[in-house]
Amino acid sequence: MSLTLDQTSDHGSGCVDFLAYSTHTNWWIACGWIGLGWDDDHDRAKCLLTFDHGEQSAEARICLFPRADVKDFGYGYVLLVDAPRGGSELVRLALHGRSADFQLGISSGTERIGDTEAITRVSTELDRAPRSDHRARILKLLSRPAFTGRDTLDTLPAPVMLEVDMAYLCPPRGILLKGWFADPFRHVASIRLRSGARAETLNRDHWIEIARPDVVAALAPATGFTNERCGFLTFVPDLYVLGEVCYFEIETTQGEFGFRTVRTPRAACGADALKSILDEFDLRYRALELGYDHVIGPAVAALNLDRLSTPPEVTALSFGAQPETVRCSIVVPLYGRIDFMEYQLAFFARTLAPDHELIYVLDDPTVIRAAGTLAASCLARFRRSFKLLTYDVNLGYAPANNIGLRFARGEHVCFLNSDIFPKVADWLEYLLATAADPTIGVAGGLLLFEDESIQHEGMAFEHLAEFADWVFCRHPRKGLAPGETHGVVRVPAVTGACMVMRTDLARAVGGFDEGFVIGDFEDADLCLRLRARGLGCAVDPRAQLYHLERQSQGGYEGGWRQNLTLYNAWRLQKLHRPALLELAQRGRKA
Amino acid sequence: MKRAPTAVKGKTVTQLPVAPAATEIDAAWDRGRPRILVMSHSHPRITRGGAEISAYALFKALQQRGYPAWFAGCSGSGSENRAGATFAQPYGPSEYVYYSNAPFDYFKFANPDPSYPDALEQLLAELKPDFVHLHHYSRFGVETFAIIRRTLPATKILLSLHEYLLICNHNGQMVKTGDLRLCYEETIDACAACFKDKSARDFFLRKRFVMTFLDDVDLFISPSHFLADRYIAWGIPRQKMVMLENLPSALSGERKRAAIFDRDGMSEDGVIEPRELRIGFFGQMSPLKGIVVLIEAARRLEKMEIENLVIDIYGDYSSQPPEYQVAVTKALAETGKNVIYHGRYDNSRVHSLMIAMDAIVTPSIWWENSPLVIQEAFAAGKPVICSDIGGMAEKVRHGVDGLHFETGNPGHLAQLLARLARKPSLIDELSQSVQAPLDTDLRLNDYLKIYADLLRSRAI
Repeated sequence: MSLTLDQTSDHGSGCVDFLAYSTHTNWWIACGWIGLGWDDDHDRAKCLLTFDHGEQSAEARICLFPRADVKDFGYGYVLLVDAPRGGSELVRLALHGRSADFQLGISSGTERIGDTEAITRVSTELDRAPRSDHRARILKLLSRPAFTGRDTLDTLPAPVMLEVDMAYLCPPRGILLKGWFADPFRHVASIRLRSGARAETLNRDHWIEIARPDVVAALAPATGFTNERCGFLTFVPDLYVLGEVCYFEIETTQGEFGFRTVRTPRAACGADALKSILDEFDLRYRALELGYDHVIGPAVAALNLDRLSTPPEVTALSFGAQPETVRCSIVVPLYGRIDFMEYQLAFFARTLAPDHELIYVLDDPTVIRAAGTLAASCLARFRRSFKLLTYDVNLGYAPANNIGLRFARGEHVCFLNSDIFPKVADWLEYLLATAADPTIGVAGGLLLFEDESIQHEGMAFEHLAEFADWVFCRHPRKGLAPGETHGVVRVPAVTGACMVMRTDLARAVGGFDEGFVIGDFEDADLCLRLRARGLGCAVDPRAQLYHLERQSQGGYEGGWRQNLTLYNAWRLQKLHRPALLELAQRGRKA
Repeated sequence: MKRAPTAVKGKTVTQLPVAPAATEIDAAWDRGRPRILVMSHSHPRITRGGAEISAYALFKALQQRGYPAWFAGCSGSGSENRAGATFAQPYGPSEYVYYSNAPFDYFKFANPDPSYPDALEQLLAELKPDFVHLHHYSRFGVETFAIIRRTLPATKILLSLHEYLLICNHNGQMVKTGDLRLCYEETIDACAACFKDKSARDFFLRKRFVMTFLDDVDLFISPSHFLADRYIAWGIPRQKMVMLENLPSALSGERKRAAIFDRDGMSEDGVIEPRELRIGFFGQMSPLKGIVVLIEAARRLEKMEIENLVIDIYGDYSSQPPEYQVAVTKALAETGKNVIYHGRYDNSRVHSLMIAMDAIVTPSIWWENSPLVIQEAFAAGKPVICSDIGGMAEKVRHGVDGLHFETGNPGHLAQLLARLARKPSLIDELSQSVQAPLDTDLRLNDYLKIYADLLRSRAI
């Protein structure tokens, strides 16, 4: 064994005598000496590997032992680092100690050997080490079984059960797991998820707990296991590559190891995936924040990004002769109720000036044929020209509106829900007049329910303590009879159900943020971005329309839809927390 | 029974004064006789409902009077379509049949057939009617009013109302789904309660949709004050509504009022014996026509041992729902001697069948508007015993030309019939006050006067 003495700095330094990589277990094995001062109370350490190309931080296990040849300035060590092989040569190894970082020098003198030889030599070295827990654990680690593709959890001395009910790939390499975990005798020291050469220790404090009384019912008789909240939902961001075998590696407090394969994760497509991901948990207060920060937030963000990564090809159908110059482009996303287009066109034929263009965006590929047929009949009957944009996938509110915005030719654009119907003939003219004010970024209407009570006359912001104290939107005076109106009112925000703004401004701010999923808070986000530019939001009460919003099924909704709303709310906080706090304080005032 | 005639309830729209003589009207047109297109949702050669019969009668009467008139009806779902022929003429040069290329939207009376608007425009351009008088909007669709208006802006559009379809999605009958309770007023919540698959906002949209197109109608014609009032309460402007009885096919020139029967008949051996009273029911035996009420009343009459009154039922129920057919068959089988079921009848013979009756009964349990059977009864000189609601109670004056009984109450009907049976002279008194309806030609003058006033945009 050659020694490389770095005389100039023995504190915080060391060297690597030999180095190997065990492909069975995906560990680096290093042996050498480390300078005095390493606190070896703990056998775990954080490690940074520097390769020719790239760096990798990892966890390591270390065991120190006295070495006669370095006894004046250090100790011998055996180091196991849980890290991938890396694509290039390992050039440096650093350990993060409590008070100092230790550089373990790799030089031309460092032997690079095979793992079998390494294991033999390490075992010999460790014979020199006094008996200790660290030594025992490293020996156990060295001799632990490699994963062979079989599940071995049931070979552990005490019962440990881990089941995955659902696994989703969240591109590019994220994995979302839903299942349950039972450790009745508290045997488990750590759970790591491995895939190919990568590994991640799961932080069970960051799991979302899900009630699983069925598991308790099955296990309690034999094991006395009573923890109903043994279901979990967890997300590992950068681990999984499609095609690799993914498995859990469970280490007990006694250093035993068991393996459990994870079924091949599914690709998450569309709303059904979101429904199953977002179902079955119900978080409040701080748990909500943690759960979304660690699990739901990044998982849904990754899924959504992937979902929208290939923009669809849009077909634009023109019905009737389109106006040559356009004052306002009205963009209406359609989903489900295409008959709303029929009603709107019947009403607009009588109330809309001919130099406004109507752009319907069909965000529902299941009814493309029916929509085309209906559109042709609407033109024949009502003689109001319009465009119908179609594509082969359901995208959600923000992307659909943005697609409409791309095709808009008017000086102004009006984003309008399909369930909005005019009450007064000149509603749009009023909104255009209001939106012409250069200090106003967006103008909204006075929206009424079918019983003439208020559905919207501006949005305000408020904290909801139960929901992690996040700031949500609300509609003040919703459900009440409209009062006396005295002209245009400045408000904190307006609803996306009816929004008029200058087209160049809409494009300059990038339209609606497509990071919001399906539909919630895109309008609030847009208003906040306009406010950040010094532009206000206003409601013109002369512009009266009916908003036949579908009533929810009474009372507490819960379920996946609410959890999706909470994702969008979580996202809104991340983007605008300081502004939201300020507006929540202000109440209804703009 | 001498009783002051009760005032007709709800008389809130203008009743026309007696029309001037035919020749006056015919000569009064400034620019010669106007061209008139009559439209209905069906053609009497295809189905035999009141609206299409009435519409066709108007068309024929106009033609006979020498007016340039045309008729357009719709084919039913069972008719063969001629590919590419949206309007065809299978029944003659002045009659058209519309063959639709798309299923009709019965919820909001919208016609999604994309070939219809152009085809109608062409027809209108060819016929150039000064008036389009519609007797329905089903199958043609309410957009028809807008199409007429944009094609011929000066043409006057009239709509005769025959039931409450625009108001009520339950077959236009304003009775609740399920238990058939009478409905008095339309609200979007009440309507949504009757139709679980629709919401209040669907009914809100339905009404706004039809109202949008009704805006183009110049005049609404209702055959009863009752129906007119319902529509005005619903939202039709009062000044656009007039009340005018439908053109009857009940009465033609030759029909005469029947002589009042000699109550007593001569028997074989010359002994004068009292004849029994014959009360006739004529019509479709659907649940809302109140057949069950009538049969139950007959049963009670038997219990009361009234032996000189017979109820003759003329009608058909073979197209009714199966459970109802079973119930009616059973009820008829269990009736006593005082009910005779004659089965279906030929409508062209109704007059002679009614002549043999002493009175006609219309026990409907919905707001009948102006049932043809009442006109037919009066044309035959027979008083009418009817439910006390809707157009029936308006057309039949209680104690004058008929009697009212509490709707849906067989006991009350039985008592009333018992009274007549015990004192048959009451029927004679009622018969004396029965007035025959105006014959077609006279009634036509009323229509022509409406057209003339409309053309001059004079307030009626």
